[in-house]
Amino acid sequence: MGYLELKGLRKSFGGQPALDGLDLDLREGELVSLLGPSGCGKTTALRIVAGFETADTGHVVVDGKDITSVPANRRDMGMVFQAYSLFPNMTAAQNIAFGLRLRKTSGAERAKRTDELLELVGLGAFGARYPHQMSGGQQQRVALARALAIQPRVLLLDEPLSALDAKVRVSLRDEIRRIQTELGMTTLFVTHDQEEALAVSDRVGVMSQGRLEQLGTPAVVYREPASAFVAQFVGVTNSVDGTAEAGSVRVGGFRLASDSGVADGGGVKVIVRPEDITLASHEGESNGALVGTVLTHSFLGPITRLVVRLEAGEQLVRVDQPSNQAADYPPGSTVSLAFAESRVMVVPA
Amino acid sequence: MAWLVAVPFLAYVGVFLVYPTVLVLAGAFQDADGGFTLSNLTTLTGGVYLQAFWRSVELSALSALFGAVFGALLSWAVAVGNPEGLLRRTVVAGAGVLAQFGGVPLAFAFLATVGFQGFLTRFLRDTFGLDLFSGSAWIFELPGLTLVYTFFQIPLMVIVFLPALDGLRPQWREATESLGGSAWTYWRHVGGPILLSPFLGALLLLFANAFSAYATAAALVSQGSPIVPLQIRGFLTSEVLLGQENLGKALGLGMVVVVTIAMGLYALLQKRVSKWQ
Amino acid sequence: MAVTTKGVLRAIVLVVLGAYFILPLVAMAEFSTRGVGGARNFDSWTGIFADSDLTDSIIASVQLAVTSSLLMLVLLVPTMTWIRLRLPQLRRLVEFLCLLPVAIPAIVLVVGLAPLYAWVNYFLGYSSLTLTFVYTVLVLPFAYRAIDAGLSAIDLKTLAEAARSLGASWGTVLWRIVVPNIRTALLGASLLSVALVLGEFTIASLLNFDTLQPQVNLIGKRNAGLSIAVSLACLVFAFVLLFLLSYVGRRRRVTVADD
Repeated sequence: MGYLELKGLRKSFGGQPALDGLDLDLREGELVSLLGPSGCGKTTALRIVAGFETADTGHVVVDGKDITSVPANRRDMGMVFQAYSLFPNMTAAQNIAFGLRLRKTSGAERAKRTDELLELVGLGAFGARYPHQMSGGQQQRVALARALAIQPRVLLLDEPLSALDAKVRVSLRDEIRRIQTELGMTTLFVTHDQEEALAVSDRVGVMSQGRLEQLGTPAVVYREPASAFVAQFVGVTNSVDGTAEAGSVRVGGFRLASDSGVADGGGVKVIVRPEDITLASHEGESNGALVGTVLTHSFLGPITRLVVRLEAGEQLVRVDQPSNQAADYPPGSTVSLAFAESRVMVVPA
Repeated sequence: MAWLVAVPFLAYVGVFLVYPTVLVLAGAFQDADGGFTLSNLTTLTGGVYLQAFWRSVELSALSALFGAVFGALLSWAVAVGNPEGLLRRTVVAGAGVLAQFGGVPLAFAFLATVGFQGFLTRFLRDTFGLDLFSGSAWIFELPGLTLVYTFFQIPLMVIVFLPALDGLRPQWREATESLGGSAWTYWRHVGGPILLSPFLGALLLLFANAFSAYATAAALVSQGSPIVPLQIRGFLTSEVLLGQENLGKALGLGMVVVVTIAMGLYALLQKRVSKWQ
Repeated sequence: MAVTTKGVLRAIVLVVLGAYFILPLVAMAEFSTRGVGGARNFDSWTGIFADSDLTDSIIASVQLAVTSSLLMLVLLVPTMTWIRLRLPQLRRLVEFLCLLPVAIPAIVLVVGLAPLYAWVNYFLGYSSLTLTFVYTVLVLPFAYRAIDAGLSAIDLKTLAEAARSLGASWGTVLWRIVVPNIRTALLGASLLSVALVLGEFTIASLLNFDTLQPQVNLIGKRNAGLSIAVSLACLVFAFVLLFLLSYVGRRRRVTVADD
């Protein structure tokens, strides 16, 4: 039993299913991300939890109490929207104090709490500024402070960083994580950015077409994807065509022991990450090796990403090498590739 | 060199807009021989003319007030609906017609409804025995004008105020709710304050609009000149002593001053609104 | 559908105000079709076509609508494009001039126009088509805003520079690049002009021209039924124009497709 439970949520909009049976448990103090492409249902799920949409079927339970039919303004949840949610007619301080005002907190208490929160989000001197006098990142920090002011049971974040510049995004996500951990706030975080989700979450729920494809820690979701979709959505992957053959898979001259479940002669896709491919210089005939030609190098700092064109079917594959070894395989050189068999996923084409 | 392209436009506007305007504004200060005088303006401050100004102001203010309040309600009813829907399209198109192109047809619509032989007049008389007019021809005087002016003020309000309502982001409402607020809280603390400036601005615009209006009044009132535009009509159509022409221009100057002040305040309020978007 | 306070309030507002606005339209329809003893009589409506003064004035107004729209487009589009590309310092002045008609009531403007039009009629003859000059001015505020919105929506500078770098003359840029890309704004501005011209009364009547609205007003004095029938027709026609206009201004399409 979790602190926040989503049970069997289903929702359709005008005949189009947005959520197709979502089950999710959050432990108290945990940050769980809902990650997926647009249209996968993650925002719908969040809005159902907040109370801005009603599920067709299913329940939302917080701390043991079913709040499915409780109106949005009595759910005691803090929500941070993607953009534009600060009240333009109020200063940052007034925005933050708004929830407290509604709860009839005394003026002195309100001021104290507002100052604390402004400090918490690093905007101590910004209290008197209006939203239009602040940058996007600053506005979102105020929005966060405002949501936290009412000491909610659950914090809901709807793509809070998507509208911001890349650099601000990274620094702000670290801050959100820091604050969330410090306060021990149970948080549901919706995003389409997989790097973001992996960086801040205790657990990640990858969604596609209204369903949860996999729920696990970032490491598990990355290294042991439950499906081809998850493998390809999270991190960088290669997808190489091959043929099923008597209990194994053939890519060009290379044989990979893998029971793909596909009938002999059928097409398969081999999914493998750039860091799970090893290279060796190659000369002469193929002889059962997977051979290719190095096309380009992309220097990425500690890693260099090589693009290799396979002999088999002229396919392009990305291979990561530590930068100090990349010079061994200059553009134009012939290489043989080996896939780490335990790190490969084979699916029907 | 590049300036040449702008010349046709500037020349055109200069001839057909600026020149006539200057003629009127300057003429207000001229006497019968073309010399400078303030006597036209001083004549305006008394008697018939001052009364006409007050009546114009009264008419404009009242119709603006009714138009603003009911127009705001109608705008709200439309804004909460489907933005591409039939209701919205119909109301907006209808508003455009009545607000800006109504004029004479509007006067006749008014007569057809509550005129001496009007549909409503007859209905009330035949069904309830009520005589709308019991003695006075109020429809040709200020009360009637106020009623018919409201008929184009409400649509103008919809045109001007609807964008302001559209500018209320749904996130503000949702944020209020997630913080524990109710509908009342939202309107009192967020929606209301944000809409105040656009509402006042619209009110000013409606005032200026009614003050400048001519066609509807001209079609309704053929005798007498209770309001300023009709007084100006008098100067243009009747036999007027040579010296008196410039009095009409002085009236025009007065109108321009009032309208410019109203529009100026409107522009200031608009600036304030756009700051927050 | 749940019954909410908001829903009830909305229904009340729409019904009450709807009735307030529809009543006169119904009244006009009823009045203009009154016959003897409660029967419906369409003489007033057929009479529209029989009255030659009226049909002449309709033709005059339609012609005016066309000429004014054309003059407005010819005057504004090159000027506004040029201002944006080469003369940004004139922008404030042009904007001011285009919005100036809003501050000068028509009734005041016509006082200054009377002597000017004595000259115009002297040179060009006495024809209601000369009203084109004035109407183009009256239309400026609406047309300026519509065209300005259209020019803002396209990246004019980039498009013009791209065309020039490929060898286009300024005329080509205007005709082949700018105009096709602000089509909907131009259509909107034209429709607004047409509606304004067809509804204009003040200046036409006080300068003694016989366009549609002054004619309707004159008819009102002698034949109430006919004048009301024509008025209703005008309102309906203008409504149809503006209703169609709402389909012209589509929301800005996403200009980049997803990968």
